[in-house]
Amino acid sequence: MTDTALPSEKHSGAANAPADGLAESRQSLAKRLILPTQILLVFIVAFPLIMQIYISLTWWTPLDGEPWYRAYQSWNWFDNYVEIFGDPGLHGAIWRTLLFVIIAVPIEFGLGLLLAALFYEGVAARPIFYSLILMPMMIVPAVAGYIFFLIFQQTGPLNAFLGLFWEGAYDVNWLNDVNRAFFAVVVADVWQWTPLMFLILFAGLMSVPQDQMRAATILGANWRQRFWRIALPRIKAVIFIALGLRVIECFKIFDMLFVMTGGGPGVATESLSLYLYKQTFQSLEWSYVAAIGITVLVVLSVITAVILARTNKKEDA
Amino acid sequence: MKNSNYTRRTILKSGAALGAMTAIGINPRFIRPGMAQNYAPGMTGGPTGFPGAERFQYNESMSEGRAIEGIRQIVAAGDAPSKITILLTDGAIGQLTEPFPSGPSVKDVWEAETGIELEIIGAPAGDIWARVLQDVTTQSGAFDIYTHPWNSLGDLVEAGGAMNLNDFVAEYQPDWADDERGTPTAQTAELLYKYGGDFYGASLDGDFHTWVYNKGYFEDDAHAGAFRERYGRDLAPPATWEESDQISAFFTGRSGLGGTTIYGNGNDMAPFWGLPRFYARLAAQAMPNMYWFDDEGSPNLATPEAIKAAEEYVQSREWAHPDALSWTFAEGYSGIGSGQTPHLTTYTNVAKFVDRMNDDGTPASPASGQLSAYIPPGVQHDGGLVRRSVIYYNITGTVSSRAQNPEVAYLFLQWLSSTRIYTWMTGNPAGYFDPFQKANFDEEFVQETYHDYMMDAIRETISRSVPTINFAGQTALDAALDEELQAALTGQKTAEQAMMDANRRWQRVIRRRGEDKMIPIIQASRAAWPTIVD
Amino acid sequence: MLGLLLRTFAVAVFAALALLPISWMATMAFKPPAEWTSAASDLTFFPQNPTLGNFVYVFTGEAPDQIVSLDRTVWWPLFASLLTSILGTLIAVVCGTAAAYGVSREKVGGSIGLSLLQLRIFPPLAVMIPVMIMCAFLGMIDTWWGLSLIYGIVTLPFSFWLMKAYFDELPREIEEAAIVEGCSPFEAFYQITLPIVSSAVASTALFIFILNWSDYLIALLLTRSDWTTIPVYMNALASAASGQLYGAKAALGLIAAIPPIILGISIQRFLVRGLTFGALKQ
Repeated sequence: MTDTALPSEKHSGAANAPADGLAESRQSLAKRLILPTQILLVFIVAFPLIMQIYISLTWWTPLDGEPWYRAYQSWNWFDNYVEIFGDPGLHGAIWRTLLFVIIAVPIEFGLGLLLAALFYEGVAARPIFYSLILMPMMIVPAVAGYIFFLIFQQTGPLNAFLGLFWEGAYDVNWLNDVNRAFFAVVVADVWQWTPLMFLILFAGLMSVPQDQMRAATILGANWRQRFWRIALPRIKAVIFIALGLRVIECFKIFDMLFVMTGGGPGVATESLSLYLYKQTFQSLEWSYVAAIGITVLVVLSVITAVILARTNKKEDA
Repeated sequence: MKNSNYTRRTILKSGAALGAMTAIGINPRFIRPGMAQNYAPGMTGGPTGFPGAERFQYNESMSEGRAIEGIRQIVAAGDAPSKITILLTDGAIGQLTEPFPSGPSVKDVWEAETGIELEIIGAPAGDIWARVLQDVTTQSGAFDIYTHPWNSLGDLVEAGGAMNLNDFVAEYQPDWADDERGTPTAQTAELLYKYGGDFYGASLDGDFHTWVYNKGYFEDDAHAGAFRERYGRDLAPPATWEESDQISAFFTGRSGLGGTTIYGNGNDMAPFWGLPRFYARLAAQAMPNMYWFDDEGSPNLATPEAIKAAEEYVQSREWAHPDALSWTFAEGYSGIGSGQTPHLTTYTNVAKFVDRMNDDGTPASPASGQLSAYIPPGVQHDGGLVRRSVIYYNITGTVSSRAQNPEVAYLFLQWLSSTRIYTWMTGNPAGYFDPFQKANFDEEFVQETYHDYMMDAIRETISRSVPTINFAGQTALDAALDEELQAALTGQKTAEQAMMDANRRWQRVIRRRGEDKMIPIIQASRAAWPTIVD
Repeated sequence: MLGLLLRTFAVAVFAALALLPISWMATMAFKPPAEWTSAASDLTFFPQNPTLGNFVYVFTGEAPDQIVSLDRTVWWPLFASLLTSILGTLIAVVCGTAAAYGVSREKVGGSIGLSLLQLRIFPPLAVMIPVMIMCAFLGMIDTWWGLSLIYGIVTLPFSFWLMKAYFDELPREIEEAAIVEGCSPFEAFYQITLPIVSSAVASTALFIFILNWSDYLIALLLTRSDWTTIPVYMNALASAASGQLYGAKAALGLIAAIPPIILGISIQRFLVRGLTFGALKQ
C-alpha cells in the first residue's frame, strides 16, 4: 500500500456521507469478487474433510460392499490413528521422504546459488545459457521420470558412457539397488529443480541495489565479501521462499517417482505420496488412509502456523 | 458333445424369437448382404468369409447361438440398449477389433448379428484393476462389463461390483464346462467362473504360467557338453527347481545368439508381475501342496517351507538380467526373444508374440523358431515329484452390478467366452487372450499361432496349476507379500525376515477384513487345488 | 577476462548437464525399435537409421516397424490436455485475479490467503478418496469440465498470490481518480485497473497453463479413458509384443515438452514472481 492511499482511507469514514457510501460499495464489490474463490475453497475442503474425518473413525474399505456413508457399521473410534504409530511401512515412507528432502533440497540450493553467483559475476552469451539452464524445469515431471528411468537402466546410456572410461561401469545397477536407486531419484530431482533455485536466487541477486555493491567495491571489498556480506543478507526472504517452495514440493513428490521407480526396488524410493497411493489402490484400506490424511493435515497446520507466527513476530519487531 | 445344455425349451424359445424377428425386422444397417448363405449347413451365426470359418459357426443349440437368440428376444421386446461398454486391457483389444485371419472381426460379427454396438475402452494391464475399483467405489457405472485379473474377482464381488450370474447361466447354459470343448477339468471351471460357489466371471484367458525355453541353446553342443561336464547330467528341461536353478546358473555369462551375454534366469521380477514365480516355488514345497494358509486359515508364510522358497527365489535373482527387477512380462518376452535368456515361466502368449515371422518373412525376434516348452519343475518329496505352476492374472470378464442391461451384458460375455467364438478369437495373434479350453487346443489356427510345442505343455501345466489368491483381500495380501519379497530381493531384508514380516502383514489384513469372514473363504479355496503327483 | 572464461566454461558444463537427458529423449524419438535399448545393438546417441516412425505411430496408430497397431492415437489425449489445461487456467486466473483484487484493496475474506496456501502445501493423495467420491457423485469423473475445475482449484493459490502482489504494488489513486470521474468501483476495477495489469494476467495465465499441463497425478485419478491427458497416455504406452514402446514414449515426451519450454522461456522473468508467490519485487 502506498503512502498516499492511506490517508484517503482514514478520512473516508468520518467526514462525509457520499464517501461512506463509496466505501461501502467498494467493500461489497470486494466481497463479491472473492466469492468465487471462497466457493471453490469450500467446495474442495468442506465435504472431503467431513467425510475424511468420518471414515477415519471406522474400518471401512470399499471391499465391505457398502457405500461410504454406511461406514459406521465398522466404527472403531481411534484404531486407525493408533495403527499409525505401529506401522513400519508408513514410518519408513515418512523417513525416506524427509531424507529425500534433506538431501535433495540443499544440493539444489547449493548448485542453484553457485550458478546464480556465476551469472551474477557475468558470463558470455548470458541469455542463451540462461534459457538452456532453465529447460529441465519445463519438462513435465512424469516425462522427466521416464527420461531418467531410461538413463539409469543398467544397460542404458549412463553406463555406456561411463564404460568409456571404466570397464566396470556395466556392472553397476542403478534402479535395482537400494542405495543407488535412492541416489538416482535424488539426481533426477536435482536435475529438474536446480534450475528453479537458480532462477529465484539469480532474480534475487539482481534485485540487490547496484549502488550498495558499488559502494562496497569502492570500500575495497572483494567479490567474495560483496557476495556473502552484502548480497546474500539482502535476499534472505527470497532464499526462504525458494527453500520453502522446494521443501513443500519435495515432500509431496509423486509423479516422477511413480514413473521412474514406482517406489522400488522394494520400498527403497517409496515416498509418503506413493505409500498413500499404494494403500489406496492396492491395499484398499481407505479408512486408514483417511486417518493418515487427517494426521498429516493437523501436523502441517501446526507447522505452518508456527512458521507464520515466527515470521510475523519478526516483522513486528 | 453331451447335450446337457440342449433343451427343448431353448429351441422353442428361439423359434419364437425368430418369429418375432421376422415380424419386426432388425435394423438393416447390420445385415450384410448375402451373409446368411455363407454359413455352413445348419449354422445360423458366426464368422464367415475365410477358409475354416465354419469351425466357429453355431446355431441355436450351441452356447453362442443361445446367447444371440437371447439378445434377439430382448431386442424384439424393445429392451435392448443401443450399445454395451466394456473395459478391456489395452493389449487384448486387437483380438476383438482386428479381422482374423481375414474377413470380419469379432466385434463386426457381434454387431452384425445383434445390432448392439460394442464400445471398447482400453486400460493398461497393470492398472486395470484400479480403474475397475474406481468405477465400483464411485458408483459411476461407466461400464457394463469389466475385465480384470481373475485374482481380483473376490475383491470385486465383495465390493459389490460384480453381478451374480447364476440365473443367467441356468437359463442360457454356456458351454464353459462342456466335456468335449470346455475347460480341461470340471475343477478348472469351478476355479475360473465361480466365486464362493456362485457364477460371477467368464474366463477370457489361460494364464497358467508355462515354462518356455530356447531349445536351440539346450541342444547346442558347446552348451550341452559343458553342462554335462559340470553337472554330470544332460542339459534337458528340468524336473525340479533345483535343476532349473542349475540351468540358470550354468547359462549365466555364457555367450548366446549374435554374441549376446546370456542371463540364465529369464523371469521378470518386477513388483506385481514377478510374484507368481514365488508362488509357484512355494506351492511345490509340500505334498501334495504347500497351501498359502494352514488348516485354520492362518498364513503359512512363516514356515520353513516358505522361507526356503523365498531364499531360493531371492537366490535366483543372481542369474537374472540386471534390470529384471523392473522387468514386466513384456520385457521377459523380449529377453527370451533376443536370446538373452534361455528359459522362463510366463504367460503362454510369449509363444505367439515372440516366436513368429514378420509379414515379410523375416523372424520377428532372433530366437524365433528356436523355442519350445516344458512342464513346470517341482520339488522331490518322499511320495513323489510335486510339479506346480500357478494361475495368475488371467483376464476375466464380469458383469458390472450397475450395467444398464445386465442380461445383455451377460449374453455378450457368454457369446464371447463360449468355445467357438473364443477359439476363433484366441487364434488371433493380435492380443492377450490365451487358449485354455479343450476346443482351443484342437484348433489349427491356435496351434499355428501358439505352435504345436505349446499345446501339450499348456495342458500339462493347467493340470498342475494351483490358484493364487483370488478371494477378498487379495490385492492387499498380494501387495504386502510382494513388497516384502522385493525388499528381500534388493537385500534390505533376509528372505526369512521378509517372510516373517509378510506373515505378520497377512495376519493384519485378515484381522481387518474380519476373521469370521475370511477364514471360511480361505478354507473353501483349497478345493480348487490339484493333487496330481508325478 | 580469465575469470569470465572460467565462469562461462563452468556455466557451459551446467548447461550441457541440463540438456543431455532431454536430448537423449529427443534422439530416442527418432530411433527405430532396434536402437531403443542395448538388447539388439550398441547404444548410440544419434539414431543410426533415423525414422519418423514413432511419430507416425502415435498419430496414426500404424507404423511399419510396429507389429501391433495402437488402439488409441495421441490426438484425443493431446486435445484433452490442451482443453483441460486451458480451461483450468481460465478458472484459476479469473477467480484468482478477482479475489486478489478484493483482498488487496479491501482486506476482505479473512484468512483466505492462508487457506489457499495450505491447499497448495497439502499432499493431494492424502485426501484423494473423498475428493474422488465427491467428484463421482457430481458426475465429474472423466469429463472435461470436471478435470478443468479441479485443475482450476489446484492452481488457484498461485494465481491469487501472484496477482495480489501486483495489486498491492499498484497505487490506489488511479482507481480513486476514476471514481471521482464518475466510474462505479467495478468499472474502476474492470476498465482502469485490469488493463494496467493485463500483461501480468497474461504471464500468470501462461505460468498456470504450464502447471496444469505438467500434471500427472490428478489426471491419473480423475480420468478413465475419454479425457486422459498426455502424461497418463504416455505412461500406458506398452505392448506385450514389443514391451515398453520407448521410442513412441520419447516422441510423446518431446511433444509434451514443447509447450512448456516455449512458453516457459518466453515468460522466464515472470516465472520468478509466480514461483515466489510474488514475494520478489522486480
